[in-house]
Amino acid sequence: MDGSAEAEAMLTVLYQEHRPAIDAYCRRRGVPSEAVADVLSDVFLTAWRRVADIPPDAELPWLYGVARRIVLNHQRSGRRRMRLSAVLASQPPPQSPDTETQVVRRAEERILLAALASLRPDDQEIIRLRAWEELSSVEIGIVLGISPPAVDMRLTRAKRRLGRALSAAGYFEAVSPPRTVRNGGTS
Amino acid sequence: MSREFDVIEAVRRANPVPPASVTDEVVPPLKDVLGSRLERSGAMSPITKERETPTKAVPRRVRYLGSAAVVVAMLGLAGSLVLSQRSGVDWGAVAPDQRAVVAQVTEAIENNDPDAFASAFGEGAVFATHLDFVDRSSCCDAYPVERGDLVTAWMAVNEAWGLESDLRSCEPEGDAAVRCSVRASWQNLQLEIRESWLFVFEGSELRSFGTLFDDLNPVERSMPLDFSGLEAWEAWLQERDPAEYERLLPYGEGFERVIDSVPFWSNILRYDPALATEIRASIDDYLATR
Repeated sequence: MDGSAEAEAMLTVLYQEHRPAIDAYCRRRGVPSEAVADVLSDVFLTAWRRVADIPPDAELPWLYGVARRIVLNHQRSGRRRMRLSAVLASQPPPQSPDTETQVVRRAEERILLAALASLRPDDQEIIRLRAWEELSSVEIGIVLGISPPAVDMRLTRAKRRLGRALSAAGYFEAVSPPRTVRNGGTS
Repeated sequence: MSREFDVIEAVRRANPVPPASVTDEVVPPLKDVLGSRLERSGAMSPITKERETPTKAVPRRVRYLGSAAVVVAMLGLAGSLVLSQRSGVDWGAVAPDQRAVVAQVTEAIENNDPDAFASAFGEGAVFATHLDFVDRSSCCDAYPVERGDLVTAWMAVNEAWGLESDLRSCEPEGDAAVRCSVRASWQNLQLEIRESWLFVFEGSELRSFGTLFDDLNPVERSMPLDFSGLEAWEAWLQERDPAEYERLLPYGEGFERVIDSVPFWSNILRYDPALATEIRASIDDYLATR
């Protein structure tokens, strides 16, 4: 197997393994369904061209980093209309024990996501990477190109800012105490 | 209540595409996604480095400095320090009690905590940053640490530009000082430089803290821009949109800014922190064109 074939085989494995995660990443950032395929194509074409750059054992964070830049470029250029609210409207809540709980939860989530959206883009992204992609500090560092301690510091600040934004938005008055008071919380 | 609230868990619950909905997806073939683009791309291209080639030219803003030699030596870009990074710091021959003070100061800067910052110093101590306060009450561009309003203003500017710093190593300098090598980045300016932070002691008591520029155009960096790059952005903006350039970057000798009702002049970055978001957006636009 020559180098090119080997690289293609490696990329195929990466693609099979991580494509769903990158797809989800795009949708979570508000990429509309019809544009996700374009973004995925850009991500894996970049991976193809830069296969030598992909760090072993950290392929997914590296791909997230590529996806992040491509999504940002799409957003900046205005070629895509990416609205998180549209995505949320099209998605069912993760769990829906009953209708009343579902309605309350959706209201809470709207407040929370609005508060999240009010933060600086960097703060939003680091919180999403931790909460939605469930990445470690090392992995987030690979995505953002910063050191793990810097990740921890930024995350701490971002959580603090989100907490303030939630307070200002009345989030803590809107949520029911049993679901919101957590012993040992980190923020 | 918010202290006990787990923000990450709340955001996790609001995940619009939960992980459980991802794993069952049928993955189409790679070539269906890449299509003809894969064939056109041919063999792997060489690695493309996205950074620009830095130069060592002295930035225009630095040339603006009045008493340049003194000011450049005393002023710098102070930022918030990565607390846990300190465990990886090369402390060299720095005495343990001095390490503790350095750690306290850097932690206070990290947390934008003026009280904690002030408590690390002895009585009558001074600090010097990249800010030049209009109503300074002491000479030589150094300010009393007791002036809590000035410390708070400095930290507010740090916050506006998203300053972050990694402490890399520290060494004693003479009998009474510790000099630390710092990697400072300004997230909202996409800028990274190298600094030294200088801590001067009298016995075990900290008497002054100041920052110095080591390298304004570091070759190895994690941020897209060095100072030359920032100037390139300014030139790009001036050519692309002169009116916006004048609005975002109104230069002039003695141009003052105000933050938290404290007037100041920044010797290194003359941008208005109130415009940080717009400036960040413009820099992002510039980077997208490169």
